[in-house]
Parts: sequence; structure tokens; C-alpha cells
Amino acid sequence: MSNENIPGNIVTTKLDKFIGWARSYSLWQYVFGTACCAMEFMSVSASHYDTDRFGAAMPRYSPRQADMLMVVGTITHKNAPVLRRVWEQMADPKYVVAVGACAVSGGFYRNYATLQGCDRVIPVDVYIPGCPPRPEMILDGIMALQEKIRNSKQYL
Amino acid sequence: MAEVEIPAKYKVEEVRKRKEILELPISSPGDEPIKINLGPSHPAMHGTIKMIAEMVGETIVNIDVEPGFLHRGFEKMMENHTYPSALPYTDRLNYVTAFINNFGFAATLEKMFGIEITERCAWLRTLFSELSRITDHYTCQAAICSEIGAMTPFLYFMQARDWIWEHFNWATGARQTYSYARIGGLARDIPDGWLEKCKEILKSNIPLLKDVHGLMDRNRIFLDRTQGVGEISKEDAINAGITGPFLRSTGVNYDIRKAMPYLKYDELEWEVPVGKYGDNYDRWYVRNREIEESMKICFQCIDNMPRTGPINTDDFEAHLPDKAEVYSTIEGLINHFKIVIDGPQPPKGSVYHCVEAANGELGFFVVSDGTGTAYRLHVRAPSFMIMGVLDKIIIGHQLADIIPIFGSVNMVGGECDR
Amino acid sequence: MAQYWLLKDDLKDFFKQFPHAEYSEQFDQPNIRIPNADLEKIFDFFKNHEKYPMDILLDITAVDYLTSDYAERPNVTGREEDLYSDTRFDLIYHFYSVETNRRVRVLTTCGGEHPEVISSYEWWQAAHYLEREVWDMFGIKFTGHPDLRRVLLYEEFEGFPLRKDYPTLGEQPRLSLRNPEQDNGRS
Repeated sequence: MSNENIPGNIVTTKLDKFIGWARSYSLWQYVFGTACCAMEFMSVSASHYDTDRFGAAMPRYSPRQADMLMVVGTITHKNAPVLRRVWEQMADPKYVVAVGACAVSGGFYRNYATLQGCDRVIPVDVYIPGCPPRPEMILDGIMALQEKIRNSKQYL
Repeated sequence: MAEVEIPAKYKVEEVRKRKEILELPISSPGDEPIKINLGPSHPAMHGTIKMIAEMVGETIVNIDVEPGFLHRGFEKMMENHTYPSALPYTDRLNYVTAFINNFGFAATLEKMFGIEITERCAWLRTLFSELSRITDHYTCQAAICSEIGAMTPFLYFMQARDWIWEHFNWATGARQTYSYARIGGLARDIPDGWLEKCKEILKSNIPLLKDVHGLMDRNRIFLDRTQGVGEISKEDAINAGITGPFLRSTGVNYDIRKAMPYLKYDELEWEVPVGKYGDNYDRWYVRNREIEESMKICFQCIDNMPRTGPINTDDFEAHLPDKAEVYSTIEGLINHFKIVIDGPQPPKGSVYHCVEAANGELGFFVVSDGTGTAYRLHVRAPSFMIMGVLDKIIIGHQLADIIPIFGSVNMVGGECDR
Repeated sequence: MAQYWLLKDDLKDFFKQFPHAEYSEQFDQPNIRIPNADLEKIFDFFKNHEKYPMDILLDITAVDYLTSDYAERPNVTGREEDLYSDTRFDLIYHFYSVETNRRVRVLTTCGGEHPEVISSYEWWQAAHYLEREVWDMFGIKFTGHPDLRRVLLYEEFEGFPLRKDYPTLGEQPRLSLRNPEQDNGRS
């Protein structure tokens, strides 16, 4: 991207790529943690497997300030309106990551009480399977989301 | 670890006197209570639970605790699965101490079949249960600290817990939900060198715990937030059906491991820590002492356990036979087939067996109809009982006091709501 | 393990006072079955026993035997008349005495179109949420309970899930669910 005629401290790029780069490295997360996967998530955000190095360190416990909703754990029918409301309160651009088998598809709870996957109430960007997924898988999912953000059209 | 001397001005009577002096009038005529919702998705709530608090000023006059946001239909699933395939569901009851749930379930079924587990299996089950209890108390203490605002102990506890979880991963294949128990034994034997490494890991946890004790135990902010807060008397706790560290912090010495000994607990030397006032600080302290006692038990297990011996029982009515037998003899094949397809079939009747989980008495009530599927399986959840009396504990305190009180309850959603 | 339960010898005064009670033992654990009408006196008896005061109510649970014939239990017959039979549900109480370390299990039956039993909230406050759970899951009402409503499920839920005639897959969603395969993108 740099040309010999342009001095070295100027970089040319596309606006989309620049905004995509900024958005993917400052993901502020809203952790909608319910069940066992939330314990695994506590480990991911602690010092051993750090989410801070991805820029995703600050759990912002207000939907208005967050741009990534992580659905961690089983969503029951009792909890579904709460999840939908939290998602609606988030401002665009927002991304949703479903962590764990229960959030992806209901897990092995196929009964009257469990929502069979959180994508029945909100659209999901990245699905992370596992019961519970290893911390490395969660970090891999965050990296996949970052790549998706970088390669998509950014609306201002 | 040495006994911590608490200075006199931090003793509970002094704190209570100070709080009375600071008691400002909380309402004037015309003040109506306002309702605040501490919703199911809340940063400072340990799990999903909804509380609707009616407050006048900052003081709570009425509170409605609503659990059930993680009700996953465990008991209905039990009626559709055979006993061995129901085992992974028990992992997710109290998901931080999955071993204790597994072994409690297996022990209930072993009672129905009349199976005796082997010596080595009993030692291993004791060791795993106590390590699980240690990780649960780590998680609970870490959550209390991080919800109050102390991030450092949270990170220390997470590091210590991670070491133990990776060690479990080496033995069982999973970090959190292991499904390690089988009816009459365990899934597989521990690898070589596991016990020695376990001892090293526990020894390396001790400096981290020392740091946390130094940070929190005599910290003025922590003492003000936890001493004299969330008190419950002995009689109220017994009347509400509470067991476990919550009850022991009020002064009642009831621990199933001493009252109805099972596994190897009666052969080892350890004590039951008992509190005095039943407030948050006592619960914190009882859990810390329980971590130390569990470490004592773990060290004794590692030293006294037989290094060789069978893990699984010889009774193949409920336990799968060895693969060598299954592939070479017809009886082994039929036995294996029957157990997998129909499930092990206990005699008709009902049985109740309880173990000491990290929160209290975890009981399994099984009604069997003679087939391989349970007719009814009920779990007596220890943290569910505390929900009933939580409103009486919280009323009269301020809004910010809910956080340490609820943290010290250690409500694990999977167990409370099943 | 049997030494931690109150056996027939320990309960001689109980059987004198309640002659209709039946005693049976399974897996080394005694079961005491009493008629429904005696529940109030039973609670008084066990709470204020001189030798073994049962101060902890450990658990209240129920079992749905969808049949009116004792001998057929626990096989579900699914007959229409059994839905409203008087012995459809078994209600099971577990008590524990802290000082003497003894346990007791008491069973009683209830049924009918709207099953109703007296609440044990006056004696043990542990019954507060335990009875709410039994109401939620089975539909057994407890008279005298201060606040009987659903605890584990939501208010709009219809039916009682742990009854044998409720299907396991009977979902009652609170929101209109979207179909993820068709609704790609944001909506």
C-alpha cells in the first residue's frame, strides 16, 4: 500500500478495512452467562488464557456500551425474552457469539424447558461448539469473529 | 496456616454498635417503596437469578427471590434415559463439583444393586471429591471477591483452579464435566505419575492462598462489607432446611462425612470447621478452612492409597464387562448388550442416598420400577433451600449488601434449578 | 446405613398413636405410609418428639403413579379413569434430626381432580420453596402456604411438567421463535 513517492509515515487503505481493523480489535463484550460454560468463561478471561490480548477484556455489563453479546450457557424458555431484550438494547454494529452446545442448539436438553439454540430468538455470527468448549476454542471463536468483522462491509 | 487474630474493633459486636450509630432515618411520612429489579442477567449476581427488591431509600423492606432461569428439565430427562446414560446430566447439576454429583449418583445406584466398590476405587473417589470441593470453594471465593470489587484474588483463584482443572483433564479427559463415575467403579484408571504431580500442584496452591488471606482477611473494606451482614441464627437455619457451610457457619456441627461416613472419610484425620455468628465473614472463613481441611485429606489420600489394584467391581450386573471378555465370550457379549440397550435393572423400590456436596447435603431419591430406566429421580438440591430464606436474611440491609450475601450463598444455577 | 434411620423398634409410640400407618423396608431404608388426613398430627408428632425431634425438613417430593391400583405400581397404565384417581400421587417427606442423627421418610397419597394437602410451612420454613416446587411440577396444592405460585417455571406455563401425561417435548415458548435456516442476516 505504500508507494515510493509517498513519505513513509502515510499509509493508504480502504475506509472499510480501516474501520474493520479498529472494530475487530476493540470488542467490548456483554457476557450473558448462565450455566457451566460461564465457569469456563471465567477461566478464559483470567490470566492463563487471556482475552485482554484480543482487545476483548472489558466485560461491559451494560448492553448500551457493548458490541459483542456472548451467549454462554443454556437458555431456557423462561430466559428467552430477557435475552431478546438485551440484544435489542445493544447499538449497531453488534455481533453475537454462541458459546457451548446448549447455546448453539440446546445441547442434550431436548425437553419442554430448554430453548433449542439461542439462534431461535437472535441472529448469531459465530457458533462455538463444545460441552464446555476448551478455552482455546473460545479464543479461536473470538479470532474467527475478528476475521469476519475485518472482511465485512462496515456501515457508519 | 496460622490463626488470624482479628483486632477488637472489627469484632461483630463493635461493628453492630457502629452501624446503629450511623442508622439514619430511612423513611419519612409519604415515602413509598420503589421496586428495583436485579435481573437475571446481572454482573454481580453469581448465576441467573432474579430479585425484585422494594426499597425505601437505600434500605430493603421486601424482596422476592425468583430462581428457575436455568430449569433445564433434569428430572424429566431422567425418566427417558437409562441409568448409565443419565450420568452426564448429573455432571451439570453442580457444575463446579461434577465429581461429587457423579459419585453420589453412582453410590445411590450401587446401594440399589448391593454392589461394593473396591478399595482403590474408594480412595480415588475420596481424592477426587475433595479436589472438587477445593475447586468449588475457589470459584465461590473468587466470585465473592470479584463482585465486591477485589479483582486480584479472583485472578489468583482462577490460576489455582486452572492448574487443578488441567490435572483433571490429564486423568479424565475433560476440564469441567467429567462423567467419570460408573456404577461399581470408575471410567478409567489414573495415569502414572498423576498422584505425585497432584501433590506438587496442591503444594503450589498454598502460596497463592496465603496471598489472598493477606489481602482479604483483615482488609478494612472487606470486613466492613461482610461482618455483621447477612446474619442468620442457628434455629432459623435449621428450620429452613439449610445444610453445608451455610449451616456450619452458624455454629451447628453437621457434616455428612462425619455423621454418616462413606468412602474413606472415617479413616482419615480431619476436622469440621464451625463458625459462630452466621454472617458473611463466617461463611468466608468456614470455606477457607474447608479448603485447608480438604487439602489435608488429599495429602493423606495420596500417601495412603494402594498403588495397584482393581478399579471396577467384579459384579457385572450393572457394570460393563472387560472388553476382552466382550469380544471373545458370548456371555460377555450378551451382558454388554443388555446393559447398554436396556440399562442395568435394579429391584423395585425407592431409595434415598445423600453425600456432602460443597453446598450441603446433595440427596438422590430414586424410584425404580424394575426396568433400566428410573421411574422417578429426584435431586435434593442444597442451594435451593437457601432461596426460601434469603428474603428474611436480606430484609433490613442495604442494596449493596445483597452482593456479598448472595455471593456467599454459592448458588449454582444448575443445582438450584435442576 | 440402616442405623441412621428410625426403624420399627424406635417408633413404637408412633404406631400406637397412628394405628393406620404401614411400615415397609426397602434397601435397608424404612418407609412409613400414612393416610392423608393424619398429616397435621404427624407433623406435630415428629417436630415435638422427645427423643428424636425432627428439626430439619430435608425434602418434599412427589411421584406420579398414573394408576389407581397399588399392586400395579409403578407401571403406568394410562387409563382415563386413573387421571383423577384418589391415589394418583405419592407425596414423600424426608425429615432429619440433627442432635440424634436420625432420618425418617413419610409417604402419603393424594389425588383427585385438584389434589390438595395441608402445608407444613407452620412447622418448618423449609417448606416455603419445596412446596412451591411440588405445585409447579405436579399441581398439588398446599393449603396454608403463604405464597403458592410457580418457582421454576414461568407464570404463563400451562400444565404440570413432571406428571406422566405431560409430554417431554411439550415446549411452550414465550416468544415467537425464528427459523435460523431461513432468516439469515439480521432481524
